[in-house]
Amino acid sequence: MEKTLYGFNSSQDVINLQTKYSLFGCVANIVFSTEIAAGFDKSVMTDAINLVIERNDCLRLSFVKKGKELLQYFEDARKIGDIPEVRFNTNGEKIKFLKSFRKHALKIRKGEVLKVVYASEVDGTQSIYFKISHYVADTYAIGLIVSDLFKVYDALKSKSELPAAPGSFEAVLQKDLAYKANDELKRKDEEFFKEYYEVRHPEHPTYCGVNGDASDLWMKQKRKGKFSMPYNFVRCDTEGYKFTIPAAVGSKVKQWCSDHQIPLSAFYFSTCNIASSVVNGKLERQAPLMLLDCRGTMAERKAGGTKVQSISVYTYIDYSKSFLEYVKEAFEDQNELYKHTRLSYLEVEALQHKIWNYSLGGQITNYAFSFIPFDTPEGIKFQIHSNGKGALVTYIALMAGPDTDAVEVVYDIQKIMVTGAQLADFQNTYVHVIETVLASSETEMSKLF
Amino acid sequence: MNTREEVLEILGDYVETPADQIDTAAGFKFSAGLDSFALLSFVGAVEDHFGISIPNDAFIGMTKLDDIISYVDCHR
Repeated sequence: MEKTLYGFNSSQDVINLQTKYSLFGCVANIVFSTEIAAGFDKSVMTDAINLVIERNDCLRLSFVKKGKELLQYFEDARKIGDIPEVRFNTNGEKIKFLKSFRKHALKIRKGEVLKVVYASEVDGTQSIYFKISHYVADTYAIGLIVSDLFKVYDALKSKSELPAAPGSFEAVLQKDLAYKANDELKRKDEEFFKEYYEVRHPEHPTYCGVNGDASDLWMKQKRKGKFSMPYNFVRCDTEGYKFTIPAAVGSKVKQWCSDHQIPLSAFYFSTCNIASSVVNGKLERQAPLMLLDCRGTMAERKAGGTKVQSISVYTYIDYSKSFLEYVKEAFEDQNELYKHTRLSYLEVEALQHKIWNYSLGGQITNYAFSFIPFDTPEGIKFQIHSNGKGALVTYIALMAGPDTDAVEVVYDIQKIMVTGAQLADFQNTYVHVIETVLASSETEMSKLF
Repeated sequence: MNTREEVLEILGDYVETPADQIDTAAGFKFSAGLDSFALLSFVGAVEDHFGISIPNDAFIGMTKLDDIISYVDCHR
């Protein structure tokens, strides 16, 4: 039977654009690993992975080129094949493995969207390394797939009943594509963004990298009065860093958010914007990218696939206001954006270009922020690794789990633009901002920073 | 189908609780949890379905589903 060919949803469109302009297919990889404290039975795990591929249709996606367009279809069955095994005797060996593992793009047009390697860490802990195509999964989907994998593994191991299967990404994709074809809904969302940028926030936002002053490259573009297409995509070597917001601070944040009815994600995003403003000489107007898992319905929350949307959030920090006033206003502003995030980021970016002469080249120079609630099973340590190439100058992912108040901050930076030392400075500023606003959230911010 | 039933039908896509067990008079304000997107996307779906717009100012004052149902009744 002939397969149904689908176009891309707007999330996949952005990944496609990044891949196209980066010249490196591996930009679209997501590399992550899980360490399993109790170890695992490799044969049962391989069976579990095959079952997870059967249960999660996004892992059975294949891609095909029709003319200039890349299209996708779902295969009925797919197996992972032989899973290689490695043993790390030293950290150097592990780093060497990771560099090699992340380097090669997955062959998505040959149905290769997932690669798995079993490993023994230096301390003997057993782990699994995954390389998954961003075309088929975002970090939310990865969380869902990892969770499903360990539930299936436990069921196979104990010969008990399999857990309920996750939802269908095909159904979610069909809904996304129906939106893309609905001019009336798109027009409504476009009108919102036009009003958002032209009326509500008419002033041009400023570059807001986490690396302090705007880079020479950026300033050169700015002096020309022209913000051209990406200038650093082709040299986008990246490096990953991991920091932690201590549990003592994280628990106070939780309490503060509960007391003031502010979601954790809004708190951490707002404080990140302030930290970026502070390191840039108290810039008031910024437009960072918020990467949001746009999964509202139960069907979307139960399915894998990629749904994450880039939202260009205009943030105006009025230092004469208190943090509490700022975060409440920012949250309300953000709420309205949430209702219109279905609109493709590429269309929003085109709108910005028209209004501000501000293109993707400028937008990606800002940092991209995402807040990822993560719920890994007990005894499983999850880690996202840099894939060595990235289209974003700075990607900041905050990973919060339900069992700990500490928040892991994962950074992926373009080495040409940001140094590790600058990042450490930024992280210190970030934690300082959080502690300061928690202590004095009703005090005018100009008196705090 | 009346407005209440239509709103509950839309809500069915967003929550697992069956419609007949949802108390529309109970509060549904943001908790400090992580699902504000789901709530806002539900409001967006209500807007699309009834062809209305629920402005932010009005939404902020809404504390229970009945408030949304009343708003839709007045503006549809």
